[in-house]
Amino acid sequence: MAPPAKAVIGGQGAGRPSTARGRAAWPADRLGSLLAAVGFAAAVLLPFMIVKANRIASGQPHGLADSLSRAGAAELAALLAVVAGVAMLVRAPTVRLAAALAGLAGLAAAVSHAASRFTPPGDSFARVSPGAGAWLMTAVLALLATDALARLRLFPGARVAALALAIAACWLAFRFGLFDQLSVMREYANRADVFAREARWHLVLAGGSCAVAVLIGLPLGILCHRAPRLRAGTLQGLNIVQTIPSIALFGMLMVPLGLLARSFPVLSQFGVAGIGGAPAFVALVLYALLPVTANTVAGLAQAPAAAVDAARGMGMTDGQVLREVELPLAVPVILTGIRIVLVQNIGLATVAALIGGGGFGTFVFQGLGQTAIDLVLLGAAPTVALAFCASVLLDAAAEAFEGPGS
Amino acid sequence: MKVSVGTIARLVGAILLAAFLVRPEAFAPLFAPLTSNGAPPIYRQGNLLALAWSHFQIVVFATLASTLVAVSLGVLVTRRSGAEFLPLSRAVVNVGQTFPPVAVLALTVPLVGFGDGPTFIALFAYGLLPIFENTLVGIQQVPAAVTEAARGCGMTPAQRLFRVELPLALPQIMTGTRLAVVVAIGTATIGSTVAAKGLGEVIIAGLLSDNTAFIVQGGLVVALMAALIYDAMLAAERSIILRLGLPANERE
Amino acid sequence: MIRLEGVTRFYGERAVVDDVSLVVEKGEMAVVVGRSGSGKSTLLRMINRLVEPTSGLISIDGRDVSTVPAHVLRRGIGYVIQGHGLFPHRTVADNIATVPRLLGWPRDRIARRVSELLELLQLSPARFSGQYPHQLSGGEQQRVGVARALAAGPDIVLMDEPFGALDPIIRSKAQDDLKAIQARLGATIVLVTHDMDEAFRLGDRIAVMEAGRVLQYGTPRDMIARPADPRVAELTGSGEGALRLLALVRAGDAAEPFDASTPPPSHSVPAGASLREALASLLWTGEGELAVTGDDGRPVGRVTLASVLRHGRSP
Repeated sequence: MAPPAKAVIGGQGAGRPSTARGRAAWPADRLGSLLAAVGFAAAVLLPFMIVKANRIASGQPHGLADSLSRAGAAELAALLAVVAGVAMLVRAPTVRLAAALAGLAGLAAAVSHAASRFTPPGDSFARVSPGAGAWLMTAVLALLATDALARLRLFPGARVAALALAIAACWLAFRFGLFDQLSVMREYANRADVFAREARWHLVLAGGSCAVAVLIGLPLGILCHRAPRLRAGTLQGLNIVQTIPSIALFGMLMVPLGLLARSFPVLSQFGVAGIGGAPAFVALVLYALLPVTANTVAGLAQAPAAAVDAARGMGMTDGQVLREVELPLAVPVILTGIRIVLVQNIGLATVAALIGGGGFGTFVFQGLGQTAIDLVLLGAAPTVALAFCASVLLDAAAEAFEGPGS
Repeated sequence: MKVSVGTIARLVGAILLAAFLVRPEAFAPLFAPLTSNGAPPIYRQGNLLALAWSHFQIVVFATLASTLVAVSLGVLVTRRSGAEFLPLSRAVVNVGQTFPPVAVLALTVPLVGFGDGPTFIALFAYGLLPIFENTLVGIQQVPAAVTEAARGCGMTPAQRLFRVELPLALPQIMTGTRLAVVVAIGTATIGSTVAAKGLGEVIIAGLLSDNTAFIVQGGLVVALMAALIYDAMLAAERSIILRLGLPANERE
Repeated sequence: MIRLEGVTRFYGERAVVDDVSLVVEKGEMAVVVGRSGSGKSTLLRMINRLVEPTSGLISIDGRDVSTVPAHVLRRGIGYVIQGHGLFPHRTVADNIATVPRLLGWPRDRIARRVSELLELLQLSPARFSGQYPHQLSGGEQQRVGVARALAAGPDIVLMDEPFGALDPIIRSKAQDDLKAIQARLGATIVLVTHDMDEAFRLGDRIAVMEAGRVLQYGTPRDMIARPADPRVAELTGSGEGALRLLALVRAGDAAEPFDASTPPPSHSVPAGASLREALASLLWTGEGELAVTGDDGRPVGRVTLASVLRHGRSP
């Protein structure tokens, strides 16, 4: 009835005694203890805030105690101590998650509070930013939350809801100016218009190139699935495109697109030009083609031969087999391919700024040029956030499609 | 027939690459049509061979470092005592992958300064995910009967790891390393924006001086290098898989 | 000699092995038989400490196994599992050499031992020693698994469903070979199986397990003649008891001397065959008696239908 039962019993048996011994040696949660230790060290040893007299002056580090009022420091310390206690002693993931989120909220409030304390009224030159200690504590709390979330094994829908809540919380924090005194937000305030424009363009670059790649890659994948002779050549060709470094591909495309724009002036009205967005867009499409096509082929190929055979046997045409059997089974794999592509393109789109292609990369490279780290952060942070959101959303979608089938 | 065509193509590619790196001037007529206004067709501001060598070196060292860390981490979280760390390590390397290379480079500059440092860190971080994931798969797919037999023979945990689990996971780990190396060769070119020594220098010089010949030769050298290394590593992997009769793991 | 006293193993609230006591004498083959989930594998795995008992004592030749470091203990005990568990990345010779290497034997001694074992298991060393497990047939893999377990010359061999992955024809040959090897090496063997026929065919003693308890531990004959529990009778198949009894008796042992007054029987069975086979032959040929022939093919006696039937009667 259940032949593997024996093996399972054996497997457990092997583990029991040693696990029991491990627990006895250190009763607390080891991951939680490690995180608490790192967090404590960060709070005590590293600067909590950095204050600069102006944008490019060197920074003055301030410890936690010295960044907050006495009462504020005591409150934060008490909150973080409770979070550390939960991390070490409580195993229930929901409690751990709640503690980590409370810790993050407290930390954000403390950073905001410290930033206003360090900013002299009316001074628009001083720059205040979180120090290594604050960043490390944020990372530790985020790790605690991540671990709790991973253990909760949320349904795809719940994960998307959690993401939406997190975005809403961040939006509120920015809306009410919680971080307005921080140097990154100062940089933002100086270029809010440009930021909005580059953000839109970054989305168009990454999302649009991904969409075009799907429009081309999906039929191409289906075609390759049908004609095996086409498959090897196509995938190899796309593979070669992937080995060309991004900045080189961007650069190489400037020539043909420039020629095109010069020969057909009509096209330049639609934005086709040798420099700027067009070569970047085309390059991103080219990079995205391989994952989309390869995953379509792989997804279609994984339909069980017996199921395809049965479908044929029942009199389905090739088209019906494709629509009713092969494609539905391939959807999760294709979505995984799209996720890879979207995350990759969101990152690669930053490189477009090198050839005048715009996007968040503009701030990154400007910042690098001016050695203004806050400006770099203004470009890098939204890119990371965007890639992270895309990855969560598409992962959830792929899993949701996998659910009923398997 | 098909095999020999591929082999010849690889051989020709390798010879062309070597020839171009040693005597780039010989190829000047090829690149001349890509230039305008009498710009030089071949990059002369630095020795191409030296640039290729340091590009290669940084990729190798960074990938070695990420292999060491990712495999150790993979081993740790598949031990009984490390299982607690599995969900978090998985999540962290996954989230790490969503950091765009440019962002990692730019954000590490204030920490380690301009030069090879940021590139090394970025390549190292990017290598972690594929190698870690593949190490996990490799160790987890060792058949239960085999680890059971190893225990039954009286192997200590260390002997089981080094004589049975790691050798059997090796092809899968190599797959991860191969994917990491190819990504690293491409990403290292972006490192030149923060002054790392590498072939990105040639491409950036081309972008700055609007010289397509530089862009193309830099891109081609990098692409050829990536393709040749990818093929060589794939061949090594296949030979091991073939010898062991293990199920092939195709993950391209 | 292996002695188990009150051995119990809990998983959570459930006793998978519940207060088992039994003794396996030196040179015997004890077969533990039961359905899947009866606790038989766990019982076996406690002998080489792959599983630690929750309570109770296990000793080998008077020495408590829990006093020996687990990996040292296991190197002294052969272990064969279902699906063989050969190391896919090592050649046949290297697989067999595993334990001798762990014990630090000199190289030439290992090489000698490996070819000796390959010969013993009817695998030509020249052909097989350099091959990898995936190049072998199921039967060959199983034999290499046995050779690996015997490599360091253990006094005790534990076998967990060793023939489970073999098809029926190879299986009976493998069972005969195991019996022959044991007779030659004199090792003590504990074998776990769910196959009652295998238990009767191989076991000097049989332990029938159900829900963690040993219902009966005794010789095959006891098992059929005096089932200690209705569940044992059910498991051994009460309807087949007579045939199982006949299967336990060799024709040579049951042969009667020839009666000079009657003509010699026209058909014969070898002395090594069981009475069950003799009965089948009698039914098939329609004769009333058979000649029993020795190894050289010469008749040594005869068995009659009446005497065969007498052997099958409930004792």
